[in-house]
Amino acid sequence: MKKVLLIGLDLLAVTTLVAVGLLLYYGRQEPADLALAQVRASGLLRVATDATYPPFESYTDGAYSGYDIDLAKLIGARLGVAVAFSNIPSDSLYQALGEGKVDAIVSALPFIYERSNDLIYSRAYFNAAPLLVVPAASTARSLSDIAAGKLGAQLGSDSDEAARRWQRDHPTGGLQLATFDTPTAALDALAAGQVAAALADPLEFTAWQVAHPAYKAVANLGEAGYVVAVGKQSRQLARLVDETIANAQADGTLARLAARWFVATPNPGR
Amino acid sequence: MQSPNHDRLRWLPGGAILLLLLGLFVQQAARSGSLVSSTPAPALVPTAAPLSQPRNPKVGVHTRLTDEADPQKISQTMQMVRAMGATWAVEYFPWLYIQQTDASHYDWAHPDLVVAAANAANVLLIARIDMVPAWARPPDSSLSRLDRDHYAAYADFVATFVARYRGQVHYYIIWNEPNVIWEWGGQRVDPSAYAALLKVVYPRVKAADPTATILMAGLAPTLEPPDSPVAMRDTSYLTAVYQAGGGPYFDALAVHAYGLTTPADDPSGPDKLNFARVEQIRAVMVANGDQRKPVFVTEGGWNDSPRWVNAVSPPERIRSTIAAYERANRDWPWCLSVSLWAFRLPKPAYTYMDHYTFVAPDFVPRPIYFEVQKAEASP
Repeated sequence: MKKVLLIGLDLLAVTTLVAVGLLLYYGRQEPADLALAQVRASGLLRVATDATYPPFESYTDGAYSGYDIDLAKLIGARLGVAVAFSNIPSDSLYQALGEGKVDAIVSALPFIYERSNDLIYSRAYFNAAPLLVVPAASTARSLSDIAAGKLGAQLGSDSDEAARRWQRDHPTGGLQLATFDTPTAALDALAAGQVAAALADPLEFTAWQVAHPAYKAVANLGEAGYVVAVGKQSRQLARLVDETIANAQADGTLARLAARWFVATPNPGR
Repeated sequence: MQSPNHDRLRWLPGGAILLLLLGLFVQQAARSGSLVSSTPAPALVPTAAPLSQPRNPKVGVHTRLTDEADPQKISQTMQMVRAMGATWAVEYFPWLYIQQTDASHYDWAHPDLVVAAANAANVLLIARIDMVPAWARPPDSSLSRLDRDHYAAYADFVATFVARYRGQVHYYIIWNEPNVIWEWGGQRVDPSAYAALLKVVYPRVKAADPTATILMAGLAPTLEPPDSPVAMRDTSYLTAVYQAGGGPYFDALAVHAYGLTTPADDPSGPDKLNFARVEQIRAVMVANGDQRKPVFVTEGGWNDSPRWVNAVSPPERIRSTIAAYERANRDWPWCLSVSLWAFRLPKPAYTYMDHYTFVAPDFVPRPIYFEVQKAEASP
């Protein structure tokens, strides 16, 4: 009787161990991405964008266009589905995602740390921080390398602010700041030899460089990455978005999009 | 990408909740006075040092300290306001924060800090008082809902506020933009009801401090048609307040003057929304015999967000801001101050609103701060 009892206990222990093991194993498995399943079932990726920010996104004559629109279509192609855009004001984009009205936000979206527990951000696909621009032959890699010279920037712009912050953080750096009415004027001052380097919005520089190939951008002054946002439970979709961005960066697709949209449709008047 | 860290971060919500609860406890303890001594009223901040003579005595800003709890940051804000060349600051003091639970309990900790900081920096404070506590409005109603049966409660509160800060604060704005539905409790706007509110509040304030200046609320600049369900044209609203007998119950007028896409010197016109909208408002005052009352611009300015259709370029914003201060000083003797929105936000809004500010959340001045400072320092 005692032997039977011991065997029974052994069986119980083994069964428990197996059950716990199975629970641990399957418990660690990623839950199904229902949003992605829905996207695939419907054949449609629903994307929210505030189409008032060319050249990233705009809506004209019933059609969406821009850098982000093309990026969203790349993501759709990666998933093998069509993309349906919703034009939503920027202050309602997150609400639309949270309520499940869309599957993703692609809208020149800055990363916001405070929101990052409520959704999943992709890797950055574009850095909007000011670019340090120098002559192509220059060996300068950062502001420290041109600190003895004069730096041009648009008055009051993010570039101006970044330069003044640098001056504040490097009080003995000797950097002189010359401000101009437009980013283009600051870049033109560089071309005219009036300043040793310029800080400019990446869009402005991309457009300007077409006619000024003898100048190059060497670094962004900081990080201001644009990201795609998907729902908190959409981990698999998030991974596919990341893969799409990484591939597009690696194979030059994003650079071609920049050339297409930033050169043909530069940010007007800024 | 966030997902790879997800498993490691699973404990964080629990930790965050604990921290939140701790924070709430500290906040409530502070509000209830157990951590922060809030009574009796603090001694008057010495103001023996006279205001240094600014080049333009009308330069001001709207600070945004409501959600700024750190005393050091409150103090630093006011010091930086003064260092920019401004001698005026508008700040709002939500009724619901100070008298949160009922009519007999007050939490003066935060307003004490703000008032003391302004006085220490030699900045003249204009206090806007609105936002109704839950106990003084219907359940689930808007924070801006104040029914007539609670006008007296609001007046009690304002009078208590005025008495507490007598000698430290001299200017009070009664409500905010009552000509738009979302600032009038979600109800159709009603100039006669606002006039009635002024009639209740004014004598109570004067009894508390006869030297206090009562400003009628700044109206939202708008050209809404007469049948609009959401707002009333600012000039029409002001006319209606006079018609309802509200004129004797304010000493001055607060005006909101946003330049939008026009420069500071853009001429005024009855159907134009620009910085000179203040002249249209002033014309209504004159037409109603109130030409001797001053005007205070308590909100206004320009925005330089590249993403907002009503914004201008950064250099245009700087030029218009400096020109606006100058225009008020040169051309508008009846306008005593121009307080532009907004000096600094406690944290980034991540919207176009960030592009109204003079100072970043980390207290680093934006270029516009230095340019205004330079302009105000020049002879």
